[in-house]
Amino acid sequence: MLNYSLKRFVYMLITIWVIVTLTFFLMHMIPGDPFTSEKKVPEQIRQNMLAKYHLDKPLIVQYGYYLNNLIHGDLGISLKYLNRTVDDIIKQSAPASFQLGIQSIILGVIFGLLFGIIAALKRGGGWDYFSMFLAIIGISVPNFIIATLLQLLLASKLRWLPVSGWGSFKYTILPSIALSFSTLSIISRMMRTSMLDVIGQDYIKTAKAKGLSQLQIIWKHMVRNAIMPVVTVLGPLIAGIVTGTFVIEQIFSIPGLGKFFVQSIYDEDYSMILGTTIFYSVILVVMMFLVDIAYGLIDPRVRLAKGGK
Amino acid sequence: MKGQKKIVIIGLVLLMALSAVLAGCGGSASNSASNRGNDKQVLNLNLTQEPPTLDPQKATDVVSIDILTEVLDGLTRYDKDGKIKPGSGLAKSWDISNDGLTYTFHLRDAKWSDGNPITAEDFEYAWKRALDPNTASQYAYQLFYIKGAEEYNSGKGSADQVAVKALDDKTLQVTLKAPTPQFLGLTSFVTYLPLEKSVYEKYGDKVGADPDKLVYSGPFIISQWNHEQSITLKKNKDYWDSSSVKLQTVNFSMIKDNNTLVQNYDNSTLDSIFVPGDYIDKYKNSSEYNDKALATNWYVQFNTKSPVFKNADIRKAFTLAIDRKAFVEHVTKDGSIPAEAVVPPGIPGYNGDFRKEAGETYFKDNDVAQAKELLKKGMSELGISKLPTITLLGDDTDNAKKYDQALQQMWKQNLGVNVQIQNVAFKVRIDMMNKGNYDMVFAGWGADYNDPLTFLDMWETNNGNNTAFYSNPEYDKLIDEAKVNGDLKARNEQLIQAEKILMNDMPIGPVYFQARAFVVKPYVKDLYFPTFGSDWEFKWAYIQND
Repeated sequence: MLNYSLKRFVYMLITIWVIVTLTFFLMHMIPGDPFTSEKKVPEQIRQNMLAKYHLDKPLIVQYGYYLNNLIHGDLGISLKYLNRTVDDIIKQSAPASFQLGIQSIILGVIFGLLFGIIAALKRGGGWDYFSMFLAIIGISVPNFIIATLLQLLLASKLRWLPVSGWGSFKYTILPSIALSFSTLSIISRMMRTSMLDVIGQDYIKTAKAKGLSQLQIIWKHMVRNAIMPVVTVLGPLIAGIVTGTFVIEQIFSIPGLGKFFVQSIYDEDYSMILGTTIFYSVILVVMMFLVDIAYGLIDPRVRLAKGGK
Repeated sequence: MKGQKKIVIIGLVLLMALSAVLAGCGGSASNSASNRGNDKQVLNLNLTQEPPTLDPQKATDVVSIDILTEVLDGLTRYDKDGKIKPGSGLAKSWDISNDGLTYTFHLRDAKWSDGNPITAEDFEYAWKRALDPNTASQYAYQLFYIKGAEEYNSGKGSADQVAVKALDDKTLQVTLKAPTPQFLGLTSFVTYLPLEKSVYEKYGDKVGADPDKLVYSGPFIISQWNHEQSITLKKNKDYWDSSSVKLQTVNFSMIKDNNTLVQNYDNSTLDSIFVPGDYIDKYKNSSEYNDKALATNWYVQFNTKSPVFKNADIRKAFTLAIDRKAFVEHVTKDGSIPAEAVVPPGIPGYNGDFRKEAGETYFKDNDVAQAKELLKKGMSELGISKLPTITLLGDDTDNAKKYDQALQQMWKQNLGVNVQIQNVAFKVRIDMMNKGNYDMVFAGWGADYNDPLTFLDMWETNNGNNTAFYSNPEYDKLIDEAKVNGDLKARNEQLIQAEKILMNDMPIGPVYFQARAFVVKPYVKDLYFPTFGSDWEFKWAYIQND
């Protein structure tokens, strides 16, 4: 297990290095630079600015600088927010995105699994249609529409919750619900399909024949086998959500990280583009690693297979 | 089974109906229970984004300027009526030498928020800091009117050669390269706003990163700054004119979503907002609605090096074929004014408004017959019978797309020309303009200072902002002379002549002078909306209690 983890860790570093390198050279191909502005500044001033942030050096030298700083844990200074470092910005913005992401994932997973399981057990029944209804909404209606509707109904009309902002728990309720819809739909549809597969298996019949209770069959035999595909998608899903979502954060005016992924590209804020990319890749790679470990915990066959290697 | 499918469908239909109902009535401010304590002097406004930097010598954007001009005072400050007067800022008076080159400012007794006196040396230090090449200030050129400034910034001179000097604690002397009528106004501009010398020395590049890395000399201080979320200003008790300041607190949120913004205004979480384009119809007839002309012009800029638009008649044809009246009434809808000239109204000329002195218009709006003729003439001059594909370059924002499409349609309808639209990210657009990779572009220009020159000198042959690549020696001569002319009447004549030449050659086709629509709650009094510089001036604002 230790050997395996070490190997994974090395792969992880290589993956991130490749991502950094690709992003670095791709972003420099965008026309313009961070200091391109509508009002032209005298050439000498431009040179002063480029020199201060090392942008006057050849690209490969800049790349060297960046990697060197990165190894020392320094993501550099933002080229838009000139007196804030990328580390600071990520540290300040990530917690809001993280809290929102975790809350919405918890909501989405709990209700997604519940609806998925019930829909499979009551196939063709009212519950099945209800869960299908929710899934259609969750997948086909973009979350910003759900967000706006929730905002209008619960905040503007009924005034139960604040329209926007961030601070105490009540501010997180509407965005968490809005954000959880797509997770809920994906997971409930997936769980339903994979439960239906499992229900038809011989070992379920065996379990029934053994005289196990309905609840035991569902929990120990059905869910445990059916949940594998769900766990697989959960990794990337969590990584995507906890690193912030542009639209939901914008609608509810949440000081999260989401907007930096989009805005930094418009601003050609090179250090911010790389910073957010690295942050996302690290979370993603770590999530995939955790998913692998989770496989082992849920399914003994995976553990055996790895031990055999 | 069938019945249940029906339930799903009915459910979906009901949901759609519900959303339509909600969206439809979302606008009305039915329940206007205010969430402010009615006796408090609190103003709630919104910033369109996080201020990129509150280092006065590095700030270049309007949001940073919005905050900085309320927490710092310059030598001068624009008064309620938009005028510079002795004593409206930190200088209680000044003397100008007869040649218009040397300014001697006499500072009033005033204190920084940490209790130390504000001295002339603070100004000298701040201005030289802006010019220091190591500061790498983008707006350093705003100080290039000062003798020795440009040389220091470009490494050809030293700080000591910059002609700004603290004669004693309360006297600052500045010598300019050439007479500059707008210089007094410039001393209220953000790059000219000083912090205390010791603050610069202590925080260096981190100046203005947080409220404790600043010191205040203006009507307000920053009491709290939650990055990307909110800024809270409190009244500055040490301000020299604190008796004029009635507000105790100003809260800024940073909402970017238009619908959220409007909802926060409707439920009185915000006291005033700039109305997003899509919501203007909703407020247009309300007594809370107003609009204000900005010192900004919008125009179609032609690449005078392109195969088609090197011809002046074709440039004119495209300009005349635009229906400006329809454009401002149906497309921008924000109170903007049709533009048939370059310099916007409100910019001072010799005795009054430059626009009135130079004449209101240089051509007729929507002159389709003339446009068609000019197009025919231009094409025969070029010896072509068919126009090649022409592309209009623009930003990829919702508004820009809407505006570009309106122009496209007018050219199609009035000239029978099919124009392609290319929408790109802002910085990419600027880069393409700089490199001349375009035929036409829809662009705008906001005043840097309160003088017609700010709209005219950019079209000189070698000006870096002249991305139309327009060149006319006669024009260059007039502008060069006007720049250093101490005879203000003759200078004004030169600027009028220059504008006339520009409109005859037409490297740009004016479309509209921008206005901005806003709504203000009736209990907010004396909140001013300056023509340029910052979004608001709330030094004198107050909340009227019933």
